Amino acid sequence: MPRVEAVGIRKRFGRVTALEACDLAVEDGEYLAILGPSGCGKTTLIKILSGLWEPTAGRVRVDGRDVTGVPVEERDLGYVFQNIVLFPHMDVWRNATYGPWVRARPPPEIQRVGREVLELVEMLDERGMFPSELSGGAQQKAGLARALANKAKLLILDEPLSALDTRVRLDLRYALRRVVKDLGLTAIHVTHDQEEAMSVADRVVVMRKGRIVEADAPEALYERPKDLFTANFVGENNFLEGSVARIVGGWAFVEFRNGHQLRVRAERLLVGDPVVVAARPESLAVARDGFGNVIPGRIQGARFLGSTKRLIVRLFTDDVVSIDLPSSQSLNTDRDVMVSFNETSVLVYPRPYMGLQEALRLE
Amino acid sequence: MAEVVLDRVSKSFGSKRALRDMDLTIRNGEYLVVLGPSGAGKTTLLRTIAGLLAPDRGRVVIGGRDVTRMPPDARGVAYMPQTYALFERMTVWENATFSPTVKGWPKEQRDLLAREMLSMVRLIDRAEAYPRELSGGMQQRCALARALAADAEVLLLDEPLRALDARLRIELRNELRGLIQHVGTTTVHVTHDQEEALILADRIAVLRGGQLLEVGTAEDIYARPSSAFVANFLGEMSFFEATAFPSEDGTARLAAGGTNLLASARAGLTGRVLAGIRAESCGVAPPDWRAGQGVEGVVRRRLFMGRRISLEVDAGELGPLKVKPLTAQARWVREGERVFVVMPEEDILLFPMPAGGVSAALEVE
Repeated sequence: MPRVEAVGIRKRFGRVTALEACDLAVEDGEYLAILGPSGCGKTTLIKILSGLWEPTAGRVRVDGRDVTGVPVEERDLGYVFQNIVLFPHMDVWRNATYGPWVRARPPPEIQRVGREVLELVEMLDERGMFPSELSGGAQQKAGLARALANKAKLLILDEPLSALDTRVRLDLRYALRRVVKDLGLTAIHVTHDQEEAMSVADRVVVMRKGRIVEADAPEALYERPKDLFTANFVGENNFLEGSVARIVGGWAFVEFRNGHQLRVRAERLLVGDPVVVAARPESLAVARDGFGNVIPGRIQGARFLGSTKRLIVRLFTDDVVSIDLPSSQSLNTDRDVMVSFNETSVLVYPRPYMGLQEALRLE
Repeated sequence: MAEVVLDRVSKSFGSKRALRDMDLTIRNGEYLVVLGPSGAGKTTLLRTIAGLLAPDRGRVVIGGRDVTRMPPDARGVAYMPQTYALFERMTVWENATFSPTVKGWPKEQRDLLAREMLSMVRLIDRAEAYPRELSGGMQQRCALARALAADAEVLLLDEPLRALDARLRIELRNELRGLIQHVGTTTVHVTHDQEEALILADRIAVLRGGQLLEVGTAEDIYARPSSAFVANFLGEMSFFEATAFPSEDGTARLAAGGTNLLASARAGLTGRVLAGIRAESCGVAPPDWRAGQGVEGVVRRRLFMGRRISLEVDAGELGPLKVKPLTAQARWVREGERVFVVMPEEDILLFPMPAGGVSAALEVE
């Protein structure tokens, strides 16, 4: 598949700006996820990339060639799969082989392609079933088989799993990624589910309010998000507002309310900087007493979450944090503990001028 | 606030028995989450309590009053159906203030309540909008605000967070719990999402095929599930067949697929058993590292999920094992590699071998 690139995309609907200054390139063989809350413009962006809609400003290029304004079929993208709806009166086999059949391919080829694609999505045994007899997950797999039989090179998947039960979703995520990688296809997968985005994609593009916030590999996005919005949207996080009190030998000491301090890496920080410190629930620990990088607090509640337990702790800085611990660790509520922050996993951001809540808001 | 008692309630639709002799007491002020696959009878249960369905047999008692023959509006319940049932000709604000207005609340108090509920569901900015102008997720939040503002003694919520974006769902479920705990309303919340159940519930009721399989605190059901089905529904499990031998120290010795394992939970069973372990209870180590008991296998798939990594390990005769360690412990694992799956003895659960076969015992639909 050629390289598809969007440069400086803006899209307006009347007075509403749906996209602003979006730059994005999809490489050959890449599995790209576009992640964001409802209304962030992610569907609009893929409609422009695939040529269904024209941007108000900006260019779309295919292998460097400007195709803005060129009809979809003339863009040399090959066939583009868009959440195919199955024909209800055809069984899985006829749905899957519909493309080769319409193109009047010889019967042996139809047989071969049909078997190939249905084996790939693990639906060969269900070939005689009709869509109404299939679960939601199986319907999606049959749709995917049809796209593959059509020799799609680029799969554009708009929330392909959102209607499915939690248990089916995980299996299908893996099936999607495996098929795309085995066949060397390119995929753009739009979702609001951060876990889904991270588990299927090579790279995740985070969008918010019509703009691209950042794009990165899943593990980097989770462990070192560049933007506060991402730090909150991808996984859960605790945020503490403070300011840099002093800098000593590569470490910055951030002071919070009531004089409590934490040590963090001092990269790009200056004394007096207002900052936000982010720490994930699983990166925090508690102890009866302790020293080092700790803030005291009082346990307000505990919830059993299966193999982990979630503690709600009100720090003496008046911040309330969530902490995930192994379920085996027993602690009573209404007692004081020391919460320890791992200085290599906490992240520090400049405090946003619009205020923390506004910077994290989902819509 | 009121106790809700279902006394041998049965309901059939034609030949389908949607509820079978259901005995269930929801305590005053309790948050009960009803968990089960589609078709288990969860919605029928809610509609029966709400008074929208009359049971074929049995009684419904709310706050000590037998309400079996009473109409919905005399029962003091607020029901949020999966279809939301918003008033299409009313704005978000009018929907949220509907019930307190009907009850003749003073305007000031009514407005305060509606404002708080709409703020919690993040819809206060859209108070003047009509339902049709809202996305599906927003409509669901509006319905939730309306149910919360109804000031009912019993709150019945059918999949109240299902249509929401994944991230917002996490935020709202945390706040919903705090809010209802504060108000103290007796709540029955239906979901198929086990994580939602663990976070919200004082107690969880597991339904299957119209029957109540088990009711208890999350910790009880998780640690000591009464059946393989319940275990599997409350978290991803791997199952394998084994032969159990009793030993003197109270643990069971298991022979399974050429491997010997110890199991300390429910060790009373002997002979052919079904053994299971949760994906999150399994650890992963390099093959030469042998930390505790477990089996070796080859990683067939690896999905990064943020705080955890989801692995499927082919453990030879033991079959495929689902393993979900914390990311920090499993970052090094790659597909195709050999690993040692750590299976702590206290986390291996034993069940009697199901008579109708393993897959039928676990089937969700």
